[in-house]
Amino acid sequence: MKKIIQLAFLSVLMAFQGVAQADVAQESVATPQTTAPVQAVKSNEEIRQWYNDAVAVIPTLNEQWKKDGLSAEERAKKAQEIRHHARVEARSMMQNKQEVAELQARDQEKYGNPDGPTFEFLVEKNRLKGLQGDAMYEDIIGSSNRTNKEYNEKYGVKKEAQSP
Amino acid sequence: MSNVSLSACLKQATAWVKTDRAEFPYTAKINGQTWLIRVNDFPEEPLYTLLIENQEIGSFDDWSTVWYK
Repeated sequence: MKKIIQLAFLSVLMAFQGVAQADVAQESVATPQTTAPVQAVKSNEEIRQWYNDAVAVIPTLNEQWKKDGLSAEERAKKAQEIRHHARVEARSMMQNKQEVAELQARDQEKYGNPDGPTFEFLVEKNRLKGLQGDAMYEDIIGSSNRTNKEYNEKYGVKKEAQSP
Repeated sequence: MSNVSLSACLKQATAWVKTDRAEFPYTAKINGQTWLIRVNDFPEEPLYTLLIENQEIGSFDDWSTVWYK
């Protein structure tokens, strides 16, 4: 009888230890999720490289959108959305917030929007340039992947993203 | 003027003065010449362009450590 009680006590103890260990394991899994990811400090040149890579996918996507039957306007909107998102993301990576403020002031003055031109702004700009119909939208799709070629060549900034 | 290189300018200690123009936020007087900074369409374009006497000298992304603003 004494042996049975000892065995029962031992099994309860082992079960308690198992629960305690599971709690510890859960905590160690949860810890990394609550810690903010460490981002490497990037120079503006590196951020520009990142942006080039981010928008380099647009021509490939545009071909797919054409196959999917999207209109020029729909494709232009999608391309502009990618470009705009990458622009905002790139600026959020900048270490010097005064430089970000300078960019936003410049964009506000030029486009009436601190985060760059809106789709409607670009359409109107192209209309004033004399473009009509799909040409207005194709120009926006093209400009979504048009970076300063001369600068990129001079400073070795490359478009690394490749088509799948 | 054509002999002026951007890299040489970036190495010259310069005290910049704030303007009230968003696109051209900084100016400096160097040896009697007016230096001007233009903010570009970053990240689509390089962040800054240096102009001396209204002539573009070059564009760059990262502010010189010896340029004070």
